[in-house]
Amino acid sequence: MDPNQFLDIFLEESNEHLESLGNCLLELEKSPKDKETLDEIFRVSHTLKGMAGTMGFNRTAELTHEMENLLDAIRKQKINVDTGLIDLLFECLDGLQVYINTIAVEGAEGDNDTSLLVNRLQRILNPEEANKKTQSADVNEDVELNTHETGVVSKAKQQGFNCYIIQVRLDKSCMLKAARAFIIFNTLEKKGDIIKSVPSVEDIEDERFNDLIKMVLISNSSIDEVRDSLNSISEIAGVEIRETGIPDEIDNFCIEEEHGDAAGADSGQTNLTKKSITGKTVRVDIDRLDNLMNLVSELIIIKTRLEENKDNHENSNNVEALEYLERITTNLHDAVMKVRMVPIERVFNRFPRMVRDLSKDLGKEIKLSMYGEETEVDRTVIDEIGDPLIHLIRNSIDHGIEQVEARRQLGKPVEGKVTLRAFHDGNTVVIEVEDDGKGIDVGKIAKKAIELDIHSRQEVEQISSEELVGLIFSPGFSTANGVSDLSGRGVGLDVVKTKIESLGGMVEVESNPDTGTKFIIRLPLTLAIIQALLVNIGTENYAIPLNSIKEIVTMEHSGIKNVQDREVVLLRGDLLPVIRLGKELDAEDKPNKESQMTVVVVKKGDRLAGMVVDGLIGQQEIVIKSLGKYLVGIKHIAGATILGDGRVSLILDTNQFF
Amino acid sequence: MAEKQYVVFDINGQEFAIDINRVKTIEKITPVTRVPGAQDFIIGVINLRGEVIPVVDMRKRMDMEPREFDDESRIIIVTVNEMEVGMTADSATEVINIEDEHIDNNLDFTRNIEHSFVEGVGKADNRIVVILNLEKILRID
Repeated sequence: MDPNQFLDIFLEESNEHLESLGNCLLELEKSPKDKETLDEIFRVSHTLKGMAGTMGFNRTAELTHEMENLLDAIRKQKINVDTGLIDLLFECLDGLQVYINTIAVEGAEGDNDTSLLVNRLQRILNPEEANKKTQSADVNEDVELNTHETGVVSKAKQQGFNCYIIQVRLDKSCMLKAARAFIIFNTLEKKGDIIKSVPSVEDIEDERFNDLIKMVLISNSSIDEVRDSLNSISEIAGVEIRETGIPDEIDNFCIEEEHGDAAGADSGQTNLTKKSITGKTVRVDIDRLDNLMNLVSELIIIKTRLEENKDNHENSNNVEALEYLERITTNLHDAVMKVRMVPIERVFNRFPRMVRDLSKDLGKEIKLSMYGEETEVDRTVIDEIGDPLIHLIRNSIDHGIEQVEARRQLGKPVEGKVTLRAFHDGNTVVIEVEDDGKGIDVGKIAKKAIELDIHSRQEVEQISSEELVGLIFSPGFSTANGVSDLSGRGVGLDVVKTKIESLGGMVEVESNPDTGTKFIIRLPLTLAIIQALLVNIGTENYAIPLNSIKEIVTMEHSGIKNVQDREVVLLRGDLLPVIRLGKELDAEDKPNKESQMTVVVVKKGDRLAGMVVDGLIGQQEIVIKSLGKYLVGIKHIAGATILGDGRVSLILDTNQFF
Repeated sequence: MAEKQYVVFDINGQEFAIDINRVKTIEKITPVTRVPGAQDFIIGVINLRGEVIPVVDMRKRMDMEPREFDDESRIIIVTVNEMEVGMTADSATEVINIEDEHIDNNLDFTRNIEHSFVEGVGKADNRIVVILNLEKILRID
């Protein structure tokens, strides 16, 4: 077996396990007596240890092993859970993360030293206890399996494997006992899987055993085959093999569990459902999904081309076939999109830990509530949205939430609240980061705006406070008086805004003095295929995303009025700013003698604007293509698409016209 | 003797060359979509088998007289910094071999062209071709 082949899987799974460990630890901190959480932590770290051991990452395995010992002691109620202990376990997690990250980059664990952590872990456990344990391994004690291991055994049995308890006594004259033991392990692993050994692998490595090794082997070979293979190893004094008596116990166990269920205990059941969920998933490389998505996009382009072909509309057979094709491509697109969707949980999960650490550092008490973790978002969004959200949450904690004393004086609850919310809204995903802190100081922003020469004093007096608050997204804009470790360096919010806009989304902020600040991020559900309205501007065609269009109206040219140097029209009694797209885009003029004009009303948040176009072509499903790095930063354009006739049409970024 | 292959193309009666390893394909003129707000020497984008590729008007870039495209006109798709960019040419004629030692940096032959665009002047079979510096031409520094 070549371990490298499994490296990717190992890394991905390890990261997942570390993430769930982190969450469980937080849970444990809240309710230290919760046995289920403890079991989960134990189970996960055990899996992690097993994986690391298999892959030959010994430092990782060692650290998890020590963690496991400690957790076991907690489980047996020899040690009580306190903050110090949780902190230590978190440090262990960090240590593990460093290993995993190094493995991801270099393929090896690197030389980060965690022996100190291991020592601390061991010190918490009673040292005498530890000694006794190693000694007892030598005594003729039977192999005890924990519930997880019995589970494995029973599963294997169901699948027709045999399970043996093997005792091997090494020859007294054997010099390199550890090495000999490893030969035994290797030999047995050719026959099947060793799920447990007494003494443990670590003890054997350190030669902390006399000459008796007991193992539990799952294998499809017969007893004789196993015995023969062991007998071929030299320096062995005796081999004893018997089948485990576990199956009966397991049968009993199952029955008990059923009874338990009937009596109302549901822990067993939740475990079972959890298992069946994991059993039904397949890991797929994201590149393959991207490829699939591209193919679907191509299909949609071709479909559009067929639809545009007039000949196809005269033959009723073709019309029917086309309609069918249309349905299939739409369904296919939806299906592929769904495959790419991941619950936003994956991003949210790292925040509780972050908030915990931050609030400790800053001496603030903060409660993080999260809603809608199950909201599904495109995988590309998941990868990109993490950093902006970290920025916003840090901002809320650092600038938003006041110090405990200040909160008390204001009569607010001492514990600050940060709320993270995700939900679907039509064709977009909304993510909100809200705090109940001091809000944004509009006065400070106005001052800063004058200082930075963004607005003059007179202008500042005229613009609305919403617009002023919006200035915090300008580059170099920070009103924090001091620069802290976290934020206030003036980089941040503009980066957040750029990032979100590059994903085709937008970010807004609502703020009220003393009651808090809310950042609202809107992201398109799909990044690849959208519905758009194709319009004529001069001699050119452009696409306007349908989700930004509110309505389309026709108006008299003469309706345009000048108000404060801006062109506006009256739409049902409200002033609507007018944008002449032809002029904005430098398009060649098409002589237009009609007195009427077509206005596409687009929205950005609550604001509206009317875009004057020269003609409407129609609504179409388009595939968004990037203009590429070479044309990065082109204003007004969100991307390009290829039309049915093979021509490229540009997609307007209506937000940038406001 | 080290020798490299170059794609030779013609703009305004002058022969230019680029390292063949940088050239992805050479295409006939296809409809170009103007990109408003882009730099003036970028005439727009084209659809190259499903990819959207920006195109640089070489005549404009090198301050030469504009000229209508015709059947001989070509768009040479090159790869620069992992980006694909098209460059227009009046015609693309052939591929030639130039020995490294026959490339010299005497830029007297190129008085009409901005010197920084030129990597060197190559000589082969009594011909003189101007080897272009793609990074400079496409202004990717």
